[in-house]
Amino acid sequence: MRARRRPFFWKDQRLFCVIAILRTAVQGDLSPAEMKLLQYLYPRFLTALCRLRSLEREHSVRMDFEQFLSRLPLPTILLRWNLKPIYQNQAARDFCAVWEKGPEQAKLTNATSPIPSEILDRCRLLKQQWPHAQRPIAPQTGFKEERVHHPRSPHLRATVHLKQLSSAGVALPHFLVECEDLHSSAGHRAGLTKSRLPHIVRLTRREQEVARLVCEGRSNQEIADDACLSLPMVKKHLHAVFRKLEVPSRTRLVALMQ
Amino acid sequence: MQRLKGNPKTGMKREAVIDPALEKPLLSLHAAINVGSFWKAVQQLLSAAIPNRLIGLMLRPNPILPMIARWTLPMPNGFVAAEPLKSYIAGQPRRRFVRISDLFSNRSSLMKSAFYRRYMASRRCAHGVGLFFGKTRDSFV
Repeated sequence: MRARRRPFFWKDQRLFCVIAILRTAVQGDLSPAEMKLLQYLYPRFLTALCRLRSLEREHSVRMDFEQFLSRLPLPTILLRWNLKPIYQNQAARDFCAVWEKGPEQAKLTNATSPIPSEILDRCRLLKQQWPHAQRPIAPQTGFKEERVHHPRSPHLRATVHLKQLSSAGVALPHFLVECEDLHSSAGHRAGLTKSRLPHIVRLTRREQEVARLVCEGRSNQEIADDACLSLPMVKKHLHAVFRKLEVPSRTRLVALMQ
Repeated sequence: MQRLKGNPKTGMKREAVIDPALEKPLLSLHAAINVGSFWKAVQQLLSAAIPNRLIGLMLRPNPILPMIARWTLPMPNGFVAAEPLKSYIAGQPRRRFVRISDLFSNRSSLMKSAFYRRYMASRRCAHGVGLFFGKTRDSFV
């Protein structure tokens, strides 16, 4: 009875697609040869539909992961074998801008910078080494990692990994680039313990900077001058910090950070 | 479908895998990455395979989503939910092909039906077939 009320259900199957073909009286009803051709095409339609469903499901999961990754303040870049970017989060874009233009210039301009040539050169070097390498058997094989430092600012460091799924038969390996500013990391390490790291990780780079300046005892106006921000923007960042760390005041924030 | 000559060296004749005219539309079908490209490929493939007046695609990939319906000519809503097709589908589970002639006992009953008047007469259609695709409910996430 349920199936009678709902035309898109069969007894133990769900009807998810119907293709209708209508013909004129002149064209006539379908001949046995035409029905045989439709029987031949039926599994092709079904395969294409199943593939479409898998693709859409995979795409939606990928979009969710990309949104999640874009909220993380850990600068990360993914590159294809041909060195074209697959993914780059906002923190990585900021890192590239700092690498190319320097910290002061990067703060003043919002323009995006390309992936630094030093990092790309190191990727090319790994590509040359890949065909001759002995790779261990693992779900995801990391071949080798290479570290690149900025020629003039060695505290800017990028770690390049060349990775491939061991089950991959067709897909070429890809590059994972983890970027790091050792100065800010060292500063954080000096002032912060490991237990506080999860709180910091949830903040954006700007929010971390504002939180750090609050902990140094600066007023909102001093933070605005120091970080080249307007006063309302500082208040907005500070509000976001309070909300994310679930603290009601700057005193509690300082207590939490220390 | 056609019969092709096999490898002359072996002297064997082989059944053609597919009509060459369908190869390109079939490739488009398998390259479809969204509903738009799938619908375009379905039109190309069926137009190349079978003479027809109009083609329709009704898709409900998920029970919670509204049905997606595409037609090559304007068509009123509710084709699959219309009687007697709806009852026929419900009563014939897992049937992959349903001809319009299966729904009616004779030609005059088709001509007198509301289904014919609503969906076929104005589009000058008199015959048709539906391809039905199902999936076990357990396999849906």
